[in-house]
Amino acid sequence: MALRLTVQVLLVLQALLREPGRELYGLELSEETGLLPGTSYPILLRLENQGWVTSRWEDIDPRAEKRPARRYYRLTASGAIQASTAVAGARRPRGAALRGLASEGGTA
Amino acid sequence: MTLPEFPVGARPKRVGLVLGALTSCGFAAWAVLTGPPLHAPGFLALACVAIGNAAVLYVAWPTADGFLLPGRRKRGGRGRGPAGRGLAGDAGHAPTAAGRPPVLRAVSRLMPTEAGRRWLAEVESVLFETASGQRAKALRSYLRSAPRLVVLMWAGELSRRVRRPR
Repeated sequence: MALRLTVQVLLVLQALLREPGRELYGLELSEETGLLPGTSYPILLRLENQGWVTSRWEDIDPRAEKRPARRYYRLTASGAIQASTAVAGARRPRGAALRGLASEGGTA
Repeated sequence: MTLPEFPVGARPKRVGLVLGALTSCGFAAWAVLTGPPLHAPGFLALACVAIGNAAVLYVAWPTADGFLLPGRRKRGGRGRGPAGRGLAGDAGHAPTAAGRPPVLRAVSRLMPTEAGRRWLAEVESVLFETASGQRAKALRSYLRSAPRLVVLMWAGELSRRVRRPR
């Protein structure tokens, strides 16, 4: 099934694209996107099912660290290419529409 | 009877679920003893009551665990779920079972086993690090997205099973 590029999906992709090699965990991602963690989780799952994102559990001893392990997400090599294409593609029509609206406003 | 501490309004939900389970059991018993309700054909009505009752009990059971039967509560996270099963496979772990809102466990049981464990572990991990003022909001967001997620996970699981060579 093709991935629907909603605003929330694009926000997640943008956050991951900021530093494509960097791994982000759920809370970090929701802070960067402004989305609630419950919103970003299904998006990450879908991105992972599509092969755009890969994830892993943090390798720590939770008792020593006194916190549960985090689930880290990062873009795959092909995912980074597809994500940057998707984000760029989503920006273009919106920019064109805004320019169209501005020119309509200017001529009125 | 004093209830153990649970965060973000979990206690009324627990009580509600337990009352719902008891009501559905009572209704099921009444339906069996007095015959078919609601003028529906007997078999269909009883089947609906039985399925509804099983569904309510399935969701309510983890909530009732340690509430109706206090001795059954498993200390130290050795029960069902990631905390109880350690680091098996991709399930991850979350040592916060003691403070886990029981509704999370109930929701995770609606998901495919591995996906449910992973979801639960991740939710616990994120909630653990979320500022206490934001925790209720984050928990609500997880619960709001859960129905869609359950459908998404089962769809993925079924397509995987169909594609798997025999």
